[in-house]
Amino acid sequence: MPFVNLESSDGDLVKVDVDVIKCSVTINALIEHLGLEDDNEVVPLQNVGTETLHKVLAWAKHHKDDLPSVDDDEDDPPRERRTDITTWDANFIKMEQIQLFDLILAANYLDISGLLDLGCKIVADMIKGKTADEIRTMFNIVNDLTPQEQEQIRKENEWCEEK
Amino acid sequence: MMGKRSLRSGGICRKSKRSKLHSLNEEVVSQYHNDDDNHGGPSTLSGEAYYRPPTTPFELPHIFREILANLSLKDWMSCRLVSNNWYDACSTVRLSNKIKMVIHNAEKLMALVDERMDCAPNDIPNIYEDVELPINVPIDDVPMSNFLTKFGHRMKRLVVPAGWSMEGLKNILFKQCVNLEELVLVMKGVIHRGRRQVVPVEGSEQESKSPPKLKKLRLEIYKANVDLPPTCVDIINPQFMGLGSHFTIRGHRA
Repeated sequence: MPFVNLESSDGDLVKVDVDVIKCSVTINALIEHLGLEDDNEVVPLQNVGTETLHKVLAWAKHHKDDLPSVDDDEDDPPRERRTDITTWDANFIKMEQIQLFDLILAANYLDISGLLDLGCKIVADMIKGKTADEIRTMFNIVNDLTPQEQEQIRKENEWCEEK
Repeated sequence: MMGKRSLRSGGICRKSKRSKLHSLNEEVVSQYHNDDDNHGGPSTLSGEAYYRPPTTPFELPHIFREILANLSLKDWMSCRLVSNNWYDACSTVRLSNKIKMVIHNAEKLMALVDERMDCAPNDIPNIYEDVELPINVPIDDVPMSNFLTKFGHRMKRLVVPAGWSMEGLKNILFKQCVNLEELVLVMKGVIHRGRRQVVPVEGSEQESKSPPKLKKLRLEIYKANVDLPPTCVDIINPQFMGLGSHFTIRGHRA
């Protein structure tokens, strides 16, 4: 069974089954184009820490038999967003906000769409039902809108109705 | 009044006054950062730019959009009020399956076409794609005509009173709202199962052209003074009916 050696930004080496990490477009492309057949070859992941890498690999291992996702066609209308998160995923993603953000950024860096989608849904769930003030507090965001701008946005919001 | 005017027009001008952040308007994965001279470009402090990897998903526009696209309209509206950065991000998200503009009365219609009054919500993407027009404003009213002329090309679904004249509907379909995919005619009255009904649109001139992009024409009939769901009639192939003749359709309960 072929393996690939991944090096985290902390300098730790992790030997991974290629079948497990094939969900990563980035690593898959490296393997295909560079032909990492030598067991001593190392793929450095400068943006992924060891802890996050292990999380990514745990997710990839669990989902290694999933069918590949179908890419959105830009000409097609926006797809209906799936809201279902499996119990395993829901338990897996229970973590501190900083770890969740690292995981999302790693999923983006490694181009793992399933994990990225999951992370985005979880962040969206964190936002749901909250006021602008609560969102700012949760994510430590500074409000740089003037009172006039806020009033203007509220007026614009009045035009919108849910379908 | 002056204050009100400047406030409202501020919404239109805001877009040009506010500088857009790199992360929201360019498909970049990273930002250059300089603590001493933060102009949003490469640092010149030591003669070299250095890379600051993102620390939150909100710094990456495509991820930010994905997060926002998972929200309901209500939550999306809250996000618009978080900060300038978030407001801009919300303006890049298409909520086509969640959002519609309902213009309840003539005053709201005036607000969209008369600059002395309220500003149009131009920073809300695809707000004009699904529009419900007030049932009590005639199609030949100046504000209505101005509104359709100004924003009609952006509409894909339009709800109008069924009693409008054929000339008005032809203007909508062939001149003002050429990208329209669905037209819904709303009327009050009763439609009986299995009986042939005539939608009260006037006109007899034969129209040979087909509406450019229209895929669906729907009639919704509300019983007067009763708060019940409407009876709906779908006309599947509008190109087969002469738009100049009466819309003769077979009614059924949807």
